[in-house]
Amino acid sequence: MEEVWVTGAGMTRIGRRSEPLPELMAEAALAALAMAGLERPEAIVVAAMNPEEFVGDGNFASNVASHMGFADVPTLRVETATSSGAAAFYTGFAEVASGLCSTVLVVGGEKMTHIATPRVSELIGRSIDPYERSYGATMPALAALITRALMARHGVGEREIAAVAVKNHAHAARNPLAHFPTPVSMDEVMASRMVSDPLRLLHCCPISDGAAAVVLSDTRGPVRVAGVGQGTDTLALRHRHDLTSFRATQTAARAAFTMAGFGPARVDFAELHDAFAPFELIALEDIGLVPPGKSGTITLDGETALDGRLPINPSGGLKARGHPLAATGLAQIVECVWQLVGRAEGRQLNARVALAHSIGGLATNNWVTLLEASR
Amino acid sequence: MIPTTVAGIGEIVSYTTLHSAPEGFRSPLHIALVQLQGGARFVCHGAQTRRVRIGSLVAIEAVDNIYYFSSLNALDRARLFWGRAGRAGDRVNAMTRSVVRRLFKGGESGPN
Repeated sequence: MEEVWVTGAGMTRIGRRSEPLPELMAEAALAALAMAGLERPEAIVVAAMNPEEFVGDGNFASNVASHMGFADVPTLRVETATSSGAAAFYTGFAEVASGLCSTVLVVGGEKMTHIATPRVSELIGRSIDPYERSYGATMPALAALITRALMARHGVGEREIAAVAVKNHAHAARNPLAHFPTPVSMDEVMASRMVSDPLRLLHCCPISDGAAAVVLSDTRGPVRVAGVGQGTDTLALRHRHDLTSFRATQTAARAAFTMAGFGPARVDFAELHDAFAPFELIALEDIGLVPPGKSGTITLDGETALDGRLPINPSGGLKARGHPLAATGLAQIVECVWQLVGRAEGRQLNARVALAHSIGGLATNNWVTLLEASR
Repeated sequence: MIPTTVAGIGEIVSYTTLHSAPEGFRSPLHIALVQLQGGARFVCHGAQTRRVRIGSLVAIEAVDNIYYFSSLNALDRARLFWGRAGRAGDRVNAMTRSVVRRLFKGGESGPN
């Protein structure tokens, strides 16, 4: 297997955007290509979860490639629900690692804010098991079942969950590309509207537009891809024995660490999939970044803040940077790369190893990616 | 809305009240994940979740092919224990097992 390097990383501002989706994706892609000093990639991988419904366009790989003036570059599209960006990264990684290509552009994006919230919720909800959906279960409802079970354990209460949202908003306040660059207080989170008991509005990520892109190469660059792992689980929540951890995350982390040849102790900071604030606590333990049962205390103690021992979601996370579905897995990797090369202005960490964790659907198709600075 | 089959007694794994239910469902929508004896889990609707906790025993019945949970009051419980032999006996055994399991786990709530 060839060594694979990230030579370029770029993304758009996340939030409510008026530009068409292919234009947002081109903006991110051109920024990544510019950083890589590359004019034309050998291949392109596109991630979009549902452009057919969200923007009404199909054949989206060709659509995006043509829009960027790369109609003659081999392009394909990858989809694993909300982790599509991470899956596209893996596909690009495999193309380079196998020796099939020497440079690959990976670009992901989604545009949703122009659609009414109930419709967006229904479209995202289609990734839920059809039987559970027939009972009116939405993503927030199933996430609430998980949260309730999590809170029945020792060490996770309303304050621990709210602390995740407060921290990630504080981080986003230092990120000019974030959807919500605004701090929120513990009281505001705990008084926000109940979405699906015990999940409140400020525990949930927003609906966002945006795009992110990276360039992968077989020639040495500033950041090396140390490991990529995928993990999967049953579509139906009722078929899982344990609600308070995600097998898909555990499997993905194990695979990524095995490929990298090191363990969680080497990770300096991480971007975790906090579509719902309690998911950050679950991921911390599933990946092995903190001991079982400790994620709540550690978060409340500030250890996962920017100035803490193990900063989590320096970008603001899905919660506050925003969650434009297929862009998210790549936006996490862009943040990791920018941190590793010293481009994370206003929130710069001193770090060498970064981890990105992306959840597809209700944790049915998850990814863990490990990146290492090559200084 | 006539009950067609009675599935029996289940244990609440988790539950929620969804305040913005999708089209075609009333809001708020009470949803629970319920485990029957033998381990099968069902997503169920309920009229309310006020007296429900993780680990609570609930009655499950199917109405028009949709499963509903409802909390057992003291009278229901007494009936389950002292009522009848046969099918109810199985339920009593399930309840006893569940109580024993909970004691064994030192008061932790829920099967997780």
